Amino acid sequence: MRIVGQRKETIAAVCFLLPNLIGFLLFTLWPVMAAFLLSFTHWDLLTPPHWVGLSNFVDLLGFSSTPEGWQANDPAFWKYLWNTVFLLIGLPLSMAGALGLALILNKKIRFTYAYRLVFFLPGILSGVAIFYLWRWIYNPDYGLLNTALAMIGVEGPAWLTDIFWAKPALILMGLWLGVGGTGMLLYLAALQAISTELYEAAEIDGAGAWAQFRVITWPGVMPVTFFIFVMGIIGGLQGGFEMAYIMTQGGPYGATTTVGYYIYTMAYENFQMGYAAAVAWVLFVVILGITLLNWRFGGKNITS
Amino acid sequence: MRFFSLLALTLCLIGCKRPDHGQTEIQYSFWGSTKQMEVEKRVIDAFEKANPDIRVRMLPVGMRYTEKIQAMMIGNVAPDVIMVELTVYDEWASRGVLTDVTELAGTLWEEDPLMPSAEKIFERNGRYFAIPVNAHGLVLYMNLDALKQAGVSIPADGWSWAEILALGPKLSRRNGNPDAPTDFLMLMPHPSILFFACGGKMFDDPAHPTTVTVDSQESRDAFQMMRDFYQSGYVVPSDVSNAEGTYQLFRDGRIAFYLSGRWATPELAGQTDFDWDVIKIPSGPNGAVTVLGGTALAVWSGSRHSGAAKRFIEFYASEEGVRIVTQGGRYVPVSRGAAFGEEFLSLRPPDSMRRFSETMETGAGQIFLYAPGQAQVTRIFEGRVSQALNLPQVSTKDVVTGLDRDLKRWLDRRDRRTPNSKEENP
Repeated sequence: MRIVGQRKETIAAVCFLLPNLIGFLLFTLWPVMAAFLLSFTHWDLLTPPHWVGLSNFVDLLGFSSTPEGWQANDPAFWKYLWNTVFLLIGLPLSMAGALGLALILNKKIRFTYAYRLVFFLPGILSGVAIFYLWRWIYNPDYGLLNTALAMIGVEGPAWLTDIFWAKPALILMGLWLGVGGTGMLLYLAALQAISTELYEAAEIDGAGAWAQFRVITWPGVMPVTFFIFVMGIIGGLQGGFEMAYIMTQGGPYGATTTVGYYIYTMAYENFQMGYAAAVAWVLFVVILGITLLNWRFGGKNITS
Repeated sequence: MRFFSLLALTLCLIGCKRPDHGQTEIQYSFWGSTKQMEVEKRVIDAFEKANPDIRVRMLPVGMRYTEKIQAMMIGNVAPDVIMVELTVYDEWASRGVLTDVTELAGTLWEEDPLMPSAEKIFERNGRYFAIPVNAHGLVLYMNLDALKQAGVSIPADGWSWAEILALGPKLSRRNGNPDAPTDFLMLMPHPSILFFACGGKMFDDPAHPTTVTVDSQESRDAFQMMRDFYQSGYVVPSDVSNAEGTYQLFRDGRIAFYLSGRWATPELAGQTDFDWDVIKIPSGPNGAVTVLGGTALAVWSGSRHSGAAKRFIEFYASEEGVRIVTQGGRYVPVSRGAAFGEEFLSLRPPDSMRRFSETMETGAGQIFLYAPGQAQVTRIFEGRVSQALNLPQVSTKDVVTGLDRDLKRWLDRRDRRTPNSKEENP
């Protein structure tokens, strides 16, 4: 009787798991493995792929001796990897902003729910619409930002086409997206999970606001901070495609091309699917390495 | 209720599209605006009337045309007739996805030969893999009222790029002339045009490239000329043109000159509150050179109805088809007789219709490569242009050296990846 019941439970579990498992196998695991095999081939999409061994990886990561010294076989890749890492500067800034905002919205003030909704809006808006909106904000001729700057006598730059300003412009936009989005919501949940008794006890002991934050709040939100940081790094290293595709097309002079956008251009514009797969796998290894390091050191600190 | 209404409508539409018994249905993909779609519809209607056994289903594709069609090719569901972009023509032809239509080309232009430029663009070693239906160089659209208002003489054929740029202070409100008639002089001229106008050359043989020949004084002069335009402040910044459109800036009287092809005419006809006309493209030290462009129709090699597809293309390129598409206002006929025929030249605007035909007849147009890899080479070039324009501290010598290195790397990689690439050109 018990065995029949267990079997029923197992069948039910399999039935519930199967749709997701099939989806994972078909649309995640299979493409990932196919990409791994493709990275050892040259495939132009229209003719059958042919095996080239490690050639794609040598072209991508190797260096060659030239009359001017050692040079990367693919300098563009290193440049775009640097761009991707540079754009991650926005991550700690947006995390700090999200925590600050969550602290404010956690106070008992009027219209708290309305504020929460307003600040969370960027998190639920369509990315494409946001990027078009920001393209308008950054328009050097009549954009909101330069118009505002002109009112205080400052001539704003051509934000998206100036090689110096293009990356900071994207970071600024990322801040707008990151401060009020999911990060704020997670921090808010973490803050609400901290017992108010702790704050009351600290107050009785004469602890000021900063001391309360340092000793109670910060340790309380540490796991969420770690989670947002790890996910932010993973997302940041993978990301940048939509921004580049819609706002800058990777320019000026490749200043906003990220590795994600590079993979797309190699695959669908240059017809080098094998090479694009190699870039994707290198990116995967980089992300995996950084995430393991994070878990090894960051995760250890949190548990201790 | 709404669901059933929608279902009924969908079924009805599917039913409407189903070809009659005995009819062959072919699919035809193209890009372009809604106005272009109307023109295509007119050609299809005329074709179906003349060929009742064939039904043509339109597949208009908006952005990223090439990528979408290529994805369909990989999925083995590509359209029977494909409008082909010049940038991928060699790529597709060399990989065997376009049917050889040399025989059809031979019959089409037996009596009325192709214009030299159209032939240059699409003929490869005596063979055709698509039938050109439109070929174009660029001309300079001029806002005549703005020129009169600024009190400058109207530019004529043979003017140089330097002479055009020198009009900036009088025509553009930028750089301290609030009384000038327009905001900017023009959009940034296509860098490749200035490159060719200065005599720059990428490869020893654009059809069978084996050596990079870009490291020259002509190339350095070309990059300097690009910088002169960019740094003058009279050309439209790219984010302004990206946001506001290109022909829209000319239509709205915000730029005095607009470098474009015949396709811009329908967007301007009757839409401006000023008079405009066109002249031939200005010249550089190497003469007046335009980039070449064109539209061709190809039969997908996987088509199950290649006979019907060829018949459609034959009709499209016939006298009747050409008449319909040229009246649409975007195309320049590819054969000499039609391009210089009364029917085409009498179309208005502009008054100087002949310029479109003459631009194609001179054969002075160029593209970087008449072989696979055109899109990649163009992107490499554009990357260095971006460097030259955005980093003024980098000398033009270094920019050209960098371009030379990039192109050599591309050529080397191409040769390694496809050992027979030197013979790859169809």
